[in-house]
Amino acid sequence: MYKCLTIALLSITISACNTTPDLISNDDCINNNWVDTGYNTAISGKSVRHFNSYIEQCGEKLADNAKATYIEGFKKGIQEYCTYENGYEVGSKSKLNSNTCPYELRTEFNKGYKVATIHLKEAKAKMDQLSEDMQEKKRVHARAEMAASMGNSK
Amino acid sequence: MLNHINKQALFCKLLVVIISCFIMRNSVAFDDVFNIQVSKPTFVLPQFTGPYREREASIAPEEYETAERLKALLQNNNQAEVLQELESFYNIELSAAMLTLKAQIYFSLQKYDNAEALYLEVLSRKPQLVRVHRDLGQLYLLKNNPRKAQKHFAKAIALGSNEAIVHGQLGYLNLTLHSPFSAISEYQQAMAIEPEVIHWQQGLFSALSQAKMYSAAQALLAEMLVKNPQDIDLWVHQAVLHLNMNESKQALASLEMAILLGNKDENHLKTAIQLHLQLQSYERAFELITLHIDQTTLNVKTLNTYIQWLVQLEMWQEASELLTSIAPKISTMNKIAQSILFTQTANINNKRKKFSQADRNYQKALRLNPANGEALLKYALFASEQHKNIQAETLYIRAEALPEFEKQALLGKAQLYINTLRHKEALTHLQKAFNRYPDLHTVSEQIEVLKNIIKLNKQKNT
Repeated sequence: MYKCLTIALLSITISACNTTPDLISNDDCINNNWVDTGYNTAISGKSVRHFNSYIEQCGEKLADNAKATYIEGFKKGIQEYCTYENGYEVGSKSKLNSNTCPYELRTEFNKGYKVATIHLKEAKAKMDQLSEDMQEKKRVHARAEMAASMGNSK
Repeated sequence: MLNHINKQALFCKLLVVIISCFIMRNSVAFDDVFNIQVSKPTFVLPQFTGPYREREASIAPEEYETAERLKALLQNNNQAEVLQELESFYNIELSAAMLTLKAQIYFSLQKYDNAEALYLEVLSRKPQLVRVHRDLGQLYLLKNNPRKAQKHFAKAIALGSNEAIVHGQLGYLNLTLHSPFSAISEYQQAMAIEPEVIHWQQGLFSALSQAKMYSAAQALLAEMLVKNPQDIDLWVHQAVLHLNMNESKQALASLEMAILLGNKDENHLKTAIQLHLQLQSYERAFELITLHIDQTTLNVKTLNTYIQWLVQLEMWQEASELLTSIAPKISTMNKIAQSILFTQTANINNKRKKFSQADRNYQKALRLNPANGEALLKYALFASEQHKNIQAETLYIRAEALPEFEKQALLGKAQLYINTLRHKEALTHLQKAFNRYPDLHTVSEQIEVLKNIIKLNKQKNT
């Protein structure tokens, strides 16, 4: 687990702020499967407000029932998303908990997120310790080498 | 002199019963020893329904700041601004508590469809929210959907609501949708919580009355009357209750009290008059008839009913006085109404043996409304009694043309032919009547008698 967390720690800067809006064609503004879009948005942990980008892109071309069906899909997706496992995954990647889970669904998700944060902290502490140990070893080694070379010169 | 036996029978027919049902009293043999074994009571452990907090909505920590701001706006009665702020969120972003607030604002702004959709959304997320079930129940009551209202009030109570309004409304709905028995307990609960609220008392009274628990209803009503002796409705309720218990005198006393307190309801007056006539207090009955006629716009149907009652009681003098008292108003009525009243005047004059006046009145009634079947039949009978048989026959023929009066006209004409020994014609008419109206089964015997008479006559002639 610590190995996994170490890798995650190294990749935090890459994945933290992926907020680029999905581009959508004019045709899709009308014919898109908004239930699936809502579902996929939720299941990938994005905010429901992601829909605003479609409103901006489509304007008046947006299908009348787009919002309602998008939310229908989102609700389904968010119920599947707000689990302990997903919370742990988000936490283990050091992503910000953006509270996309509704209040009544977030308990398990937050628990997972919290546990992952603790584990991450512990892994980091362990790595720090390992690093410190290595440094110390290096220092000891260096001192020994120095003492040896000084002895030889005498 | 009135024949009391006939009178009683007459009243049985006369009484327009406002009582829907009568009590069936079973006689109990007190000498019998009853031995009924009942099972021992058992204690049923109540099912654990989860922590109370599950039945209340709380706001999310990140909403505290917004909630404080909205609270301040609501205190200043600024609902529109609160709504505007809440509408800036997607519903899924709001906690059930905030969503409920949004629904409540829609409700108070009478945007019932929006409120309904939101309440249902809240319940889909948190099905145990007592207050939401209560609000939704109220909303469905306003939207005239009692079945859904009943469902949510019942759910609110099942989840532990102990508000009088919820019990009371559920009582009302159970009373209207189901049986009165299912309402009694709810009204009692509501009354236990808010004993002074008249709605729950009235609801419980209605439920008890409809469940035919008259003694309990009477006890409750007596308590209510002590507190509100000037309440006309309570006196009327008491009258209805006594009528249900076949206590005519007490019913009348209560109705008189209501009238004394200013009740002007026509039906109540009419019932009081009927009861006075039933109890043979004719003077007061006539007094109330006069009062009724004086105080309201003249309704010819009611007036006609009163006259008929008086005529059936052979109170010719009073009936005549009544007609005289309204004489100045008759000309203001339409022709049909005038025709009805002239027919009644004619009937009374006939009974009082003022035949020429009766004749004139009948003629006037038929001039005003040639299709007055009642006048045609009465005038035909009158003419027959006066031995004006051709005139009587003509009148019956006219009445026969009116579908509503055909049966009586055929029988009347048959009688006229029997009286004038025109047996063959009488037989034809009786057979015609019998064929068209199979309910006239007694006529078959008369047909047989007539056939025999005709046969005998034939034999005599041969």
